[in-house]
Amino acid sequence: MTMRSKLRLGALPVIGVAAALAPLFLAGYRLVFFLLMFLHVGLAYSWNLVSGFTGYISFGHVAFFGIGAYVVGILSGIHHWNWLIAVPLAGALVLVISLPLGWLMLRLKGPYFAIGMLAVAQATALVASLWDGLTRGGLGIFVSSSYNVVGVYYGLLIVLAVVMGVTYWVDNSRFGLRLLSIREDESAAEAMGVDTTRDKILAFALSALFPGLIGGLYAWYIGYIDPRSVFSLFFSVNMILMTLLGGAGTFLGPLIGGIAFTFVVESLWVRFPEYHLMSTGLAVIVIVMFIPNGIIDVLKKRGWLTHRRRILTRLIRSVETTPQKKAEVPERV
Amino acid sequence: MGGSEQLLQTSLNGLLLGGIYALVAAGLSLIFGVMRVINFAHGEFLMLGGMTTYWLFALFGISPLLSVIVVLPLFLLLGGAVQQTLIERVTDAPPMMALLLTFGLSFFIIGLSQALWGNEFRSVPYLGGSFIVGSLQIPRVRVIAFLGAALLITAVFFFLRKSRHGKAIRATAQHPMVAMACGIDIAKVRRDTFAIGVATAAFAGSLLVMITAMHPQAGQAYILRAFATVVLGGLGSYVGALLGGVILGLVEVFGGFYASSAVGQASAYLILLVILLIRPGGLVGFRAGT
Repeated sequence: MTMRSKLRLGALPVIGVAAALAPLFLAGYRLVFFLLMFLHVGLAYSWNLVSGFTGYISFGHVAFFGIGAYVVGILSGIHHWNWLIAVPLAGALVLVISLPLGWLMLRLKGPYFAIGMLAVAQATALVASLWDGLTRGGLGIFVSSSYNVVGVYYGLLIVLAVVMGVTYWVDNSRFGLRLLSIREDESAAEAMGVDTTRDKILAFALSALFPGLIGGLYAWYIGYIDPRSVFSLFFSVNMILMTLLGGAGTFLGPLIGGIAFTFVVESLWVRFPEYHLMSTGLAVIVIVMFIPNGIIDVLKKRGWLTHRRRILTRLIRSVETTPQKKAEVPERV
Repeated sequence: MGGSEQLLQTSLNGLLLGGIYALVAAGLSLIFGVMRVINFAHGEFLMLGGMTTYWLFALFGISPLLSVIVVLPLFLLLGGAVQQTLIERVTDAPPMMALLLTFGLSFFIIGLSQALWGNEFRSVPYLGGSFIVGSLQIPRVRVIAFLGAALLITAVFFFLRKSRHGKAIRATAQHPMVAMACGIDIAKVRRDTFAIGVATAAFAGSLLVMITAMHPQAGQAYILRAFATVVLGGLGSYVGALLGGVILGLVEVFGGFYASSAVGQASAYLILLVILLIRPGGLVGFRAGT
């Protein structure tokens, strides 16, 4: 491991501690700014887990976010449960739903999966607006009347830390390499003995769990939810935009993309809300055309970040120490 | 009105609606067949077509039936330009890149329309009244819209079948490499196919704005309907899209009438999901992911 990468990874826990202490020093909008940043970055990491690593692009990840928000809305808003119980339950329910859903949806490939997921999101939104008895339909739910910034801030920080940890593990494990092999060529991966169905569903479930939790926290933070707001396609687009911007299928990509996105949203778009959607769309177009592999790739090409995944470095070293079994290990995966 | 007459009336309504869905889906399917790209911004081009017709009517009093003279060539040009400047450049990139590109394009167009025209619902009140046949009431404007859709569908069909250029498009859809070896300029074919697809969507929008209101986000509902339709008919199949359109129109109208309007709305998603799950390749032939 080089000096530079040691420094880089060592910085993350330091930033984590600073983030944990931030509510002592920051208040009001400044704290909300970081809360929103964690929300965005967390969502980007979630989407990245399935779409970045396996290449199965989901246009409907907002479904999990919306379901999570509604679980907390119903439990805490209507039945007055403690949010500390409701939020984990939201995550658990989304996880339970995501396994059979993933099994069904992941049989679809390429554009079929993308648009199938969009239909799932739209159908979930429709259920939320039609099932008045459970969700109060279009009236929406008043989840909380108090201002819950600090609690939600810590909640999002924990979720973010976990999803980053999971992504780091995926990025440096054989599981992650298997997911990448699915992205590059699924048939070939299968032929090499990868149980693609199992790995895809696991990635899908992981990638659904965190938006469920984040959606639950968001409902508690924002205080009022209705089907239009929490199932807004905007959340799905933003997840895609942030991840592509930073670099899909990488560990640092969603972090970079999410932070950049939050700064742009909070400094520019809040002042010109009428151009928000237009510039989001334009940003996706520009990224796809000019930096399809994200900022990370640009940094790597300039030599500011190392090229190689650490698991590959480890594998290469283990190969080098046993000279008989010399094998070709690719430079980059 | 008796039960059987009601049934007939509902079927007729479904058929008239289905004709327009068929036109939208045919364009989407054509583009997919040649380029292997799902034009996610298809609904937005439809919306833009409707908006163009609305503004021609509102500003200059041009009849929606005449505005097709502007809408068709305008969107042929726009479609060709979009394909050349954006989509052609990701032809060699991984296939999902083109999908993401049209996804971004769709949000760009929605946002642009909102910035230009606000979120108001706009429609062109045109041709009130109905034809009365026995006890059946057929709104005149729907008949006109259906005929318009049928006309363009037929025109494109014969263009694809009979004309030299149409044959080049079909050849490219069947096998791009062989088409190229036969001297077909497949880059040009891709441009023209996209232009035709966009123009048919915009034309459908001009017809729809006479029937229902248009607003910047109206296209979103149609992309899922169009996708449900092509999945019903088999992605890439022109005739299949027509069949799918009529089926979707009937299911929506019947679901809306006999169950509730929400069921009518939801039927596109339900059809889409059920068919994708039972036959991931669509009802007719086409294999997913190939």
